[in-house]
Amino acid sequence: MNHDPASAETSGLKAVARFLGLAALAGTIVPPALTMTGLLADGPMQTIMLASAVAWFVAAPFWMDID
Amino acid sequence: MTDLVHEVEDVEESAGSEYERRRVPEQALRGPAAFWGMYAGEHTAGTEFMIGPLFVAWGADAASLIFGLLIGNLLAVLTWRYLTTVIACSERLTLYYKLERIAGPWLVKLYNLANGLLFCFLAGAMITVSATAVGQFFPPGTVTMPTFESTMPTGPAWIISCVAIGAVMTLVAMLGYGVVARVGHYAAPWMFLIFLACGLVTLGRLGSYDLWSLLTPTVEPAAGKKISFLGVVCFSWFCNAAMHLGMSDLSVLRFARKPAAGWAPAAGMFLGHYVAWICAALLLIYWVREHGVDPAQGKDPGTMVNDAVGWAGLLCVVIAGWTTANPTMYRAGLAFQGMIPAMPRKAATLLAGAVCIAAGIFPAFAMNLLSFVGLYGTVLAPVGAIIIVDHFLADAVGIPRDPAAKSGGNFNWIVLVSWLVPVAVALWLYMEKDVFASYLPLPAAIACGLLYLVLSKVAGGTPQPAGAP
Repeated sequence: MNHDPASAETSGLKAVARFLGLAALAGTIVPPALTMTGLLADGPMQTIMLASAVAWFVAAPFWMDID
Repeated sequence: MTDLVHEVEDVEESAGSEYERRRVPEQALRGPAAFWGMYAGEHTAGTEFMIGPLFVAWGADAASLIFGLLIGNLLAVLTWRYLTTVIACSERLTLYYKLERIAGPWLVKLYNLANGLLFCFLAGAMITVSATAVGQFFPPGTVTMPTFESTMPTGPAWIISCVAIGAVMTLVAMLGYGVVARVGHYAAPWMFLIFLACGLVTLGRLGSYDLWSLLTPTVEPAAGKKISFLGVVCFSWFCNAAMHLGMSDLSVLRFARKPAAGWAPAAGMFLGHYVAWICAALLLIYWVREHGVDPAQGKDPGTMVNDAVGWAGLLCVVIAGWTTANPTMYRAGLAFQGMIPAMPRKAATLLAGAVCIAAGIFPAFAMNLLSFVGLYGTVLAPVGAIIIVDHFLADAVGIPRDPAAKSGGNFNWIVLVSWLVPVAVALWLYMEKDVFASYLPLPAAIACGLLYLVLSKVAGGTPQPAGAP
């Protein structure tokens, strides 16, 4: 078991970044799928995709970079 | 994913700066993960938004797009795996050093000139694609968008857009492309999903999931602009001919621990050059069927992507263009520096950037991408055939391996003749006989390899006399 506070903080940050990153990827592909089936209008789909793009570029460096 | 970004950067930066004139040592070798990530990112570029719609403009049918692309991409992966990576893992040298050992340093300078210029035109096409996206952020009519038939700049606003985008790209490339490589790898999974999103939204708007029927052309292409099943196979096989058959990727794959890393390009081929191309093609199919756009005129990527998925799509076009144009500019700068070693790298990159911007202003390069990438492979792939003969056949047929290294020569005329004669014939066939450019890299490479073999044998199977030192 790892009791190093810095390591715990890093793994906590990584877990948050991973969650945010996965949510961003889902926010990039699920809304268009819903739009395709007629369940979501173009406007909200495009807004969610833009927000997801921002979220992805915030999360990805923490998720993909932390050793 | 944890260490992947670092590994990818290490491989790319090492490829540009380390072990340039010796074998890569055992401790510098890398596992396959770095290569899978690198190829996936590199082949989901801004130009994919052009190539899919260009297939539609050229009247590619459903069988060509679904099965032709599958076959062509598979052949490309097999070429990488069983030629490029086998040689890379055996020799563990850069293309430039290996070529120098066969052809002498003066011929490498000539290769660098051709390579650097072609890199600039390719990066220029990426600037053009990015400019169509940036233009969407201005009021309608501010920036006149080019069509597939445009060859000249569409107006002052277009020129300013291209110069501004190109200047930023050049500045970043001058600082080194570590940051851009990093952004590119972060962006890769997201960019692929944006392509997929464009496809999904378009399917919904077209009101059909019958891909076969949607990909079947509804109008005849313009005269002289028709691509067949074989054309699509050859295009997808040889659009990266300079990298696999032309052995440019020796510089990267020499770091692979095992030849199995040669399967890694499959990530780029089947995500970027298959799924993304078909999704991008659907964008133009929608505009043709629902808005009556003439496929020969096409529609610029920025407008189509903005309409489908909004600003996230525009961001993707800009980032996809930026992250692939920057390394291309950087490599062009290195190629120019190779010609004139006294030139500082930043000055060489600035020169490359200026050529890229000049090329980007003219939509002719981006709009003729189907022909341009074929010509790119036709000029550079034959050099790879000489390396293939040197590696696999030289000992068996009794010609010297690495002849310039053995003789100390600066200039191997056999290589020059073997390279230029097939390329000249191929370019004549393209210009005078209208042969589709992607049909030419393979015959040109085979002819080059055979000529090199025969001329070397005729010359006596001994190292060629050195050129003037």
